[in-house]
Amino acid sequence: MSRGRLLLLLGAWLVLFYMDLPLLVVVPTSVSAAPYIQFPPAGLSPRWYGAFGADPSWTGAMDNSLLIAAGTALVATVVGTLAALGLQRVGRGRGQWLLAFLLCPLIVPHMNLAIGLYPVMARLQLVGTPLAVVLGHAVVATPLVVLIVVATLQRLDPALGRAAASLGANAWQRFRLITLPLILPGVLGGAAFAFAASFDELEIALFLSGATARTLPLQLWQQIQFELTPVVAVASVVTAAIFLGGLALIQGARWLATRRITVEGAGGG
Amino acid sequence: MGSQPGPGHADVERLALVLRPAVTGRPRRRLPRWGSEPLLLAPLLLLLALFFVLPLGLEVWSSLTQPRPGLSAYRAVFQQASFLRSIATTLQIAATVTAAAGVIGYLVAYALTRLRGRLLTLMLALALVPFWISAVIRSFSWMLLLERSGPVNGVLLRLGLIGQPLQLLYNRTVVEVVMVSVLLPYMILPVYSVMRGIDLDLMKAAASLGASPLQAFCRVFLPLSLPGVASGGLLVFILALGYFVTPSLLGGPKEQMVAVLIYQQTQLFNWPVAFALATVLLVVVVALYGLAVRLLGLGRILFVQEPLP
Amino acid sequence: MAEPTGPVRGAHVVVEGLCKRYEDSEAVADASFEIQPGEFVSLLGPSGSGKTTTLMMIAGFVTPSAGDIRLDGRSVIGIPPHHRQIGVVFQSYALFPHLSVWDNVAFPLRMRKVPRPELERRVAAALEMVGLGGMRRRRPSQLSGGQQQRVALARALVFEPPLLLMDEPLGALDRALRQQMQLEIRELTSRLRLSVLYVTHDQEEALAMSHRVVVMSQGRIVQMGTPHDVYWEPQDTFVARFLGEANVFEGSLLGGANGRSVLVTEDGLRLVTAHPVAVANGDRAAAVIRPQAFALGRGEAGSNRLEGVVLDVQFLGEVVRLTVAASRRRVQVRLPASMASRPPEPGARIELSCPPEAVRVVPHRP
Repeated sequence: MSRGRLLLLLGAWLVLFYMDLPLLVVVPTSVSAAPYIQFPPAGLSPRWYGAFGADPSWTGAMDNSLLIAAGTALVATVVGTLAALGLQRVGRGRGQWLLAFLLCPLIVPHMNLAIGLYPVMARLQLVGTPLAVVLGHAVVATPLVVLIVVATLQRLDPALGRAAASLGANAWQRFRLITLPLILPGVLGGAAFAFAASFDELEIALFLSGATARTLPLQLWQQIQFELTPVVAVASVVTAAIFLGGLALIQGARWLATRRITVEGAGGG
Repeated sequence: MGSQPGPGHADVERLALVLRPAVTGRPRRRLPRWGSEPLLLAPLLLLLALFFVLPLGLEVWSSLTQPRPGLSAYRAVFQQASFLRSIATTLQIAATVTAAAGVIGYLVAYALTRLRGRLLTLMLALALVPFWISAVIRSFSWMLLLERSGPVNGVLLRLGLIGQPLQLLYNRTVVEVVMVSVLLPYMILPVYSVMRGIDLDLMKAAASLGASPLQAFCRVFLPLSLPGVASGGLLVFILALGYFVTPSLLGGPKEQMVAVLIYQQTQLFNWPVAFALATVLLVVVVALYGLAVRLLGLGRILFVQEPLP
Repeated sequence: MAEPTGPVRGAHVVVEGLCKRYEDSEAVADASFEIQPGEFVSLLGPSGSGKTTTLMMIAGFVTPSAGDIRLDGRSVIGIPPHHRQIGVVFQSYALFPHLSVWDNVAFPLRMRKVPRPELERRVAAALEMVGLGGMRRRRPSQLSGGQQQRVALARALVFEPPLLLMDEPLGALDRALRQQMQLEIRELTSRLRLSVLYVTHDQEEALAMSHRVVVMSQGRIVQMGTPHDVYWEPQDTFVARFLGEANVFEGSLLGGANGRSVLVTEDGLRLVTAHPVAVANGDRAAAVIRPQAFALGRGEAGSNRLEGVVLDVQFLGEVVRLTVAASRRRVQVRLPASMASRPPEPGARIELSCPPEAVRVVPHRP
């Protein structure tokens, strides 16, 4: 490799380190023996993990986050996939503008949504319920699903639907037997993004979760500012782990779904 | 004349089978539509109407009607120096972050285009990590690194470069540094996907026509990659404007970004001012978005990547 | 090859006054033709001629603006595609990538709720029929282009439709494979006695496979007839040129007698035709002569004669192709090649003759 290219690669790795390495800091911090945050830790002890597990404000926050993220992923995936299918039929001209509108929640700052949703949810008497947070998160997560599924649908050969129709399949059969299996990897990818968006979200949860539906990012954010102990580091590690675990699960499902479509290697006779 | 062989039973049956679907098919006067798109779009439109358009509309409305109808909330905002400073700071930080992310992101994207196979997959995954890890955790980890008793100070002390630990947190620069690390993926992805679409034969053609590598890069590659930079840059700028998490944890009290300011106002129950600030932010963001759609076309803005390759 | 699933009686298809208008253009204007039961009809034309749109209207994917389509006497207008019982083979094959070959072919039978034992028998027979009996578990992505084509065919035939529509199915294949597939498709469809409508832009393909050819241009049908008819008796210069290489001599009709007519070109060349001419005396017209109609030498009495200089000689194996400068134009000539005689050299002066039976005078149409 030429020197220029080597330098370029090195530079890219440096940037990636800058982006990712700091995250690793939380791991040793979480096993620090001292009762205050210390990096690098002087002594090692797993006691803070125990403290995390025993503290209902943390475990409750974790449960809430999982529940809410799962709920958001469900809502966003169903609503978003339906919308993507609907958009596909609308066609180029009007479709472009409709899509631009449907994607607005992605660029509007969450703070705007949060302070706007608060009075609405208060009127509906939903503040402090997981439902309120799910609805708020669904608003910002669904466009992600729409985006991904629209792209997946565009890669689908339109002749497949016509072929299925010519062979006697009605609209529902076409969707169930042909379209759905082929877009499933994209739909699951959208679900993964929706889950992530909800699990990590702060501002909307800040205003809508009240005292009863606290989420993990919210708990983290508050504790960092008010009571900084290694438990916070533990919570960070746990959050990242759950997250990556969930991601791995969804990736596994996607891989399975993709395998159904493309089979490599020698097939049976 | 012998009898002509007439249609046998089997033939008649076949004919009936052939004709039957034509009989059972129900001809309608109007041709049926292929599905109904309004029904499919309804759930999303309903969700957005109730929980997106309504809240934002309420915000704008409230900013103009509370505490009494008129522009009193806006006057409160624009007449207070600290608020104006905050708006200016926000714009500056967003600009700096966008510029830095633009340059760094461009280099990383370019490096990625030169890669194949496993290395590419690995590096792309690493470049997308910020998408997946919460901004709270990222800001926290930088806090751990940069605090007074943290490793950066520790190294600097050990090397004798400083006499006592520096206060590295709670200023504009650290906010910018962390924001860049979080927002880089939003720049890298669009630039990378545009770069990947550039036909490499164009560079070879330029060389055959006498262009040096630098000239070929400046005159051919760079212009072709600019749409990606434009859409990435606009996206990063818009996201940076409204950013909350990092400035709230790592920012200094004097140079706060607008989103933090809005939050603080709500904690002071100063809702009208909060709504006014939010409306200003909203207007700027929507204007930029509209500009982007007009200038770049919607197709360019919508880069889509699967979560992991 | 194994026995087919039983002879199927093809449908009698009547297309009447079919039109398709879009906002700013007319894709198909007043198309009318018939397909007799068991007949193989090609829709032939350049891109944009409306042939694919016509096929799509018959299949039910495009709504006609006007006109009727009748299968065995019953109109199918208004019936959605999945009720029409018409087999379609698409240009891209449109095989379902997530299903195996077997499941692809079984699909239409499953839609019709055919019971399992019969389904298995028919799918196996269909695959045998196209020679892919051993491939049932493969996925489409594991098959070659020719094999995919055959799966598409088997799938469209397994439910025994009375009409088969094919939209340029052989476009993606290389020449040798295409010619082989042309034979196979022709043989299969005639054995099953299906009615077939075959869309193509390749005149050689249309001529080789069809009972009748329908030539379309710019949304209209310009000529219909057997391959022999449309090739040797083109109605105008467009059809003449599209169906194969043609020498077109523009001029005006002088008139004639005794069943013969004379066309005279600008430079005074007279061409005699023995066929009736649909042009009035004095009007502009064109004489069409196929390259293979020429012979070297003076020919018999009453032949048309040309003199010219050989510009180029191409040896094509079976024929020798000469480009001759004569009558202020380039004349293409095809002579049978033989080992014994050598073709003329470039630069040589030669005489060409052509009988009046081989000359067609038609209205001039660009």
